[in-house]
Amino acid sequence: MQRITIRMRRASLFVLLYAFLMPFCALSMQAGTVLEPPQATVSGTVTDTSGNPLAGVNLVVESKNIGTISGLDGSFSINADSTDVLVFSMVGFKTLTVPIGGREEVFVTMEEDVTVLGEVVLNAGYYTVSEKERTGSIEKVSAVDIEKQPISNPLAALQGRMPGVEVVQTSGIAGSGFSIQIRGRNSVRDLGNEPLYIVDGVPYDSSSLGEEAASGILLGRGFSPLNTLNPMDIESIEVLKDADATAIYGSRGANGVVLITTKKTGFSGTRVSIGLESGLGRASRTMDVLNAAEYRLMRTEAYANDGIDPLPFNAYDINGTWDPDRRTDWQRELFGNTSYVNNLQASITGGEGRTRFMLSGNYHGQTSVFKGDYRNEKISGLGKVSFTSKDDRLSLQWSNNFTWNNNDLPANDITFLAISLAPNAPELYNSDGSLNWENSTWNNPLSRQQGTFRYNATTMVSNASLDYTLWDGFKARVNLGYTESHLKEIRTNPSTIFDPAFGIGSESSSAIHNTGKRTSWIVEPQLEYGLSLGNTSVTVLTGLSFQDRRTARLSQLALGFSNNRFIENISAASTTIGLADVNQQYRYQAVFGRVNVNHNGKYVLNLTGRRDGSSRFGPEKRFSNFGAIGVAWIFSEEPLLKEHVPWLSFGKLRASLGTSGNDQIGDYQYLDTYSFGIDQYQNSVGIFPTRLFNPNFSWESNEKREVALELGMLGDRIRLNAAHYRNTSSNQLVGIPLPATTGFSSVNDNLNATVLNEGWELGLHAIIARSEKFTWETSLNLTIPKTRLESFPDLEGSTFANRLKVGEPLNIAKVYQVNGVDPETGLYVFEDFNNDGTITSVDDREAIARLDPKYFGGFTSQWTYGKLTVDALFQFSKQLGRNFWSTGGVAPGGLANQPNEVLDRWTPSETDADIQRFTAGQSPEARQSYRNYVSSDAGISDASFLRLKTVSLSYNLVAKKDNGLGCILFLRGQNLWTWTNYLGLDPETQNSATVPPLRMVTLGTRFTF
Amino acid sequence: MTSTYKTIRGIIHTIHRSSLFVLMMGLFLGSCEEFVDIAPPTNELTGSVVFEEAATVDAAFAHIHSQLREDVFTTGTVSGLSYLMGHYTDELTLYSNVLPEVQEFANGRLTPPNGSVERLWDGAYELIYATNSILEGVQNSTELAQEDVHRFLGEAYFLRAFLHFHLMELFGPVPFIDSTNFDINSKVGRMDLEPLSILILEDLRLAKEFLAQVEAADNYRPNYWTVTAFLARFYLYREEWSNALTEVLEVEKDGPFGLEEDLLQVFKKDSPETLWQLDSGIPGNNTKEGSTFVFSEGPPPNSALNNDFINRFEAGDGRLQAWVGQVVGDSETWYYANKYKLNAPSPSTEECSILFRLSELYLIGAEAYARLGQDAEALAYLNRVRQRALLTPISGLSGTALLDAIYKERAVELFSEQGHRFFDLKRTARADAILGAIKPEWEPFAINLPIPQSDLLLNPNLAPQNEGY
Repeated sequence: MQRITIRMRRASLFVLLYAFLMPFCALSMQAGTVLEPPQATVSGTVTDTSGNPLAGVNLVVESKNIGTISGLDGSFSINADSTDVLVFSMVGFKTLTVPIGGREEVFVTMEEDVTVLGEVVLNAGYYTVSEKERTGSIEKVSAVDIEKQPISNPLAALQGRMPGVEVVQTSGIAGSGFSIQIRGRNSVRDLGNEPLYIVDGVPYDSSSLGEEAASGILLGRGFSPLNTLNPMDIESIEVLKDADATAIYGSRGANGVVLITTKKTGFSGTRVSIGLESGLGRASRTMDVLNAAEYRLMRTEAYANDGIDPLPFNAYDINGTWDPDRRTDWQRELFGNTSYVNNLQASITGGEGRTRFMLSGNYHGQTSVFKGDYRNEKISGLGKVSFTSKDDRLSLQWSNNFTWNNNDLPANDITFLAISLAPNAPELYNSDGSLNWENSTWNNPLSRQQGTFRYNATTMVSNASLDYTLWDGFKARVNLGYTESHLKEIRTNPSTIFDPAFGIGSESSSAIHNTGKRTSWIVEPQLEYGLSLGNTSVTVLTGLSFQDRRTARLSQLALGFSNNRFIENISAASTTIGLADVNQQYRYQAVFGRVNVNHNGKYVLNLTGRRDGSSRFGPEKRFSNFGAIGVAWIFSEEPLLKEHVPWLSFGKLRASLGTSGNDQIGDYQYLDTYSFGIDQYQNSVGIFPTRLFNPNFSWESNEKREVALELGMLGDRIRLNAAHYRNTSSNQLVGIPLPATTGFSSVNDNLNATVLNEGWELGLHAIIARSEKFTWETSLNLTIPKTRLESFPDLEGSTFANRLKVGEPLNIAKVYQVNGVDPETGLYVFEDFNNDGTITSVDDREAIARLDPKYFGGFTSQWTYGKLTVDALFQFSKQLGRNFWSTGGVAPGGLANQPNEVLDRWTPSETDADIQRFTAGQSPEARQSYRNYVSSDAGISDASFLRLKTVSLSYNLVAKKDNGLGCILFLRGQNLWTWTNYLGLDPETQNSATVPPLRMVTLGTRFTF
Repeated sequence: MTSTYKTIRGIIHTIHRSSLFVLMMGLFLGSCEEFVDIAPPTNELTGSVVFEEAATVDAAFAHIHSQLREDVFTTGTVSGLSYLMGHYTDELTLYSNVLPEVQEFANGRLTPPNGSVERLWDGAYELIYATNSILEGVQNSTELAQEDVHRFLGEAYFLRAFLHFHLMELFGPVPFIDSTNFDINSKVGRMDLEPLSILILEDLRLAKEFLAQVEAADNYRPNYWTVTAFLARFYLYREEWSNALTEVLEVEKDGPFGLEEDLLQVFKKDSPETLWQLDSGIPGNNTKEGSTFVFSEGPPPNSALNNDFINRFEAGDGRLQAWVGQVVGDSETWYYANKYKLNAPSPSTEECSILFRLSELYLIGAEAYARLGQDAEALAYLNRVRQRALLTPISGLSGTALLDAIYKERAVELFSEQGHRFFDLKRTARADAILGAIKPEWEPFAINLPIPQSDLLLNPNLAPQNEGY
């Protein structure tokens, strides 16, 4: 409905214009056409591929300087020779050249052109730039692709879709985080490699407000605040990668910038959209472990190997204490539940010309795969209003995004326990429903689940922007933003997690309560000036940025309850202890600018710069400058090429060079302070030195270079992008690890080491088939990253000596090298690098394992046949990774189940084996050998995978363009298949102690009217 | 011509307009630098403020003491000396099968990555940093009263010596850390036992000197008597018998302590024989030892006293009744250290972890006299401990027999307390004979724990690893 209205509106404008201009044209033509041969009137209609009339199409007679515009019903008439050629063009459609060939009536169908480069507008933060003329490296994922995945964290939508962007899911638990790395790791530091997140112009802090002691089940630093954004509300996610794009973010751009833009307000006319989606999920992988018979064989063999006879009293699993005939698939039992997911989305958009609005709401609910009743729920709303004044000089927009997230989880992740429990381990419950402790012979895995972990997070992102055109080409703008996040966490540890044999009651129960609040505001006044000098256009932008962020957190431990039923009530506790009362402030200010010069649409020069000040550094080190230069040459616009290489529809060469920085070191780190501890002594709470004092550290700077080639062929049906980047970062801002003899584990300082981080990024997009009925589009992206520690003065003498090596990547492990199993002893043989006859920790850990991917990428394909659209996304990564062994655990033969691989072990009769002889832990040599084994190259193995990340089938049941009615049915799958040789639970998380990403299948529908 | 003019005019126009941009820059550079000046955080105190008042320095000590109670070294939890070294020697049997690190202690064969070993090491050096930080802060402070300065310096020197001494006894040669300078401390090497002992002794001498000028308030913080008692222990380990004796005699003669004759009251918080105990923190809390050792049903969920160890008690030894608890199962009886009775909070605190008590000093006195050939005096000290335990006095022993009797008495008097058993076996060179016989994996080198692998990796100057590991 609304499209038609727009067309009509536009068309009537053109018609008016036409009517107004025509007499002049006619006049001017009269003078020149006297001697021309007689002309005929050619008429006809223009329609789109669906047969709808197209109004406002530009129509030019190629050989002459005359033209017209099609009317409301798509009709036109024009004076032309019978031998003339007509050129039809319109924004969003492919330009069409039609020879008249003597006809009096010409009927033309114009094809929509979705890949017209000039029309794809990219958000670069402070400015927008067309895909065609950009000088920087910017990747984009739009709503169309985000909506096809049943996900709850927006970062999941980036997986496999962007070259140079590596997104890794850390766990399959709902609400847990994703780690993202844009163009590799620049810092030798493990933390602080996060990109900058900007939601609708407002910086969004991705660090958790959680209390570490409470949110243990969620890996890393607690729950991901990005999880509170609703993917369905996102219009696009842009990732800025190179210097040209990131330097305007100065000190925070070193790790790239992720710009999240929420959906726009509607046009005129009211439109309602309702979507419903439901599905199920299971852990995508489990490990193949020994069955009961094999397990028993392993255990008895282990005791025999260790020379222990008879079996000791605590070999409960095989000495008859536990029922030898019990069989339990513990992985299925403990994390094999089905997770149910429900998603409901409704939105209404509309407006009357100058005032527009949108309102959207979403409910997302998901249960967990753990045994028990756990649930993650999210309710979010987004509202937007925009207004443009009658004279078009003032425009303003206000948006408000609110999310409420409630997550109920077990207090601990028992995934690793589930893998390693003996197959004949006792029943979980007694017949009366209480936990079975089997006479203190085991730690019931569910005992840890007696405690719960629950969080409730709310987030609000509010943004207003005002634009005012002062005079022609001169605009003033101010961007205002405010965010507020709240987090309330509770983790309980009731006395029932302990074996009743300890005789511990509810007076020992405890609960951790944590509430956090973060508010931030930003004010960014800006001026923009556009100027045209002949064929050259110049755009100048300058602005200021002031930002303030306050974080407050109060965390308490409540101890001792008269009854476990009151465990969640602080006032029922006999004692409460303050764990943390944190108040932090972060302030930030900047002046930034951009000058863009575009000559003829062929040569583009882009200069950006920023001067930053951050409260995170000592008074002498607060300010720093960053800047970049980017150039692009659109060589396909050169007449020579246009003429001789007609199949090349687009060609651009671009390059950029510049610096950006990183201040992710935490607040107040330059101060010499004492903090309050949590324990009392003689009625006084202890205070302790917070950190090693060092006021002299400063910004880390990162120099980025990039060269890229972008090609479009056969009318952009094939698009190819290739980029090579080379980042050098020096003056590394690092928590330098220290030996415990210093009293601390690290100190903040700048390290005079240089890291070179380079790589190739390739993107290919092809429209293989395109017809009215059937289209097939496919794209591939591939990243080949390579980081190298270029220099590190005095590395041997530094605390990094055993973690890094010059000439090697940053992400390496220095480990022992296993040379197989000794046929005599049945124990592993390790390479004795220093030839001193023993295997010792420092000198013999000389084997280097590179843990970064060799290459990674994604492959998507989309087929549309009539009303049916099928999408598939494959994600792949070629890499080494830490496997099951490196998680540690018990040596094969001990009281723990093991992967099937251990069956290839040494026995007196089979001495040629990969795995050493089983040991029950009673042989020191075997134990030591296993200890070395887990820190050897055997603990690191192939973790390459190819994963069918997403499949989406959607059927366009009803699509009536005239009244906007639509109904789509869809079936979606996530993580459906994984091909890998990985030894462990999941090659992506590379962690056998957490649930792997879930395999989800959902069914849904969306109505629009 | 006209177009040139137009261009120039355009440029002038642009420059004119750019003044707005310049203005914007000026605004930023001129007035707003203070914007990023922020107040220090409310939950932290700046270093110099801490040392302006005695109360905040006391709070810094409170941290060290609460760490000693809760987390590291002397703690009664499974990370502390009492528990770990109990397994390493012949005191405790491990029943739990989910504590692989403790299993290594029980087996008598540790590996360098063992997390519990690392925790002992790291925890001690964390607290050494904290004491050095206090020492430097107090020395540089001009605000504190003289008496407080003496108290703080004495206490800090004592703690630094106490921690280094235990590190030395556990690991052999270790670095001596006497500053907060991380540049030096991160590259520090290990110091031989002889110079190390001299530095520890120097700290103790300073501690005694400073604390001699201070009135001891209570036994929850180390005071003059604690230092004296510790010197006695130090000299005993160094086999400087007469020095050890001097310290023992000083405590006995001038100190306000006396043996608690009721065995059941010895480990209560008001026991008159306690020289130094750790405050339990929250009112009503009792000791960590209580929750670690006590259990009420068998088989033991965690650890129990070794049955052979129980057999060491002579018939009629009152300590077996008073200080050992038992759980009777269907076919077996299990024992646990029950010096501290309470494994849960009580209405008000009744028991605190005791680090120094008088009976140890009597046994030090006995041993020193025996070594000096004064058998009668030696037996007198020994019998005071025996009589309190309801045992008959012994007489007529001398030489090795007397020493053996004293060693045996130490074993049953000081069991499950701060690793006394291990340190005794080590200093008297009996570890191989006794532990080698019951631990199949025991090797002579096990007398020194391995230097934690993590620190060896971070500081190559700590190499070489202790022999054998």
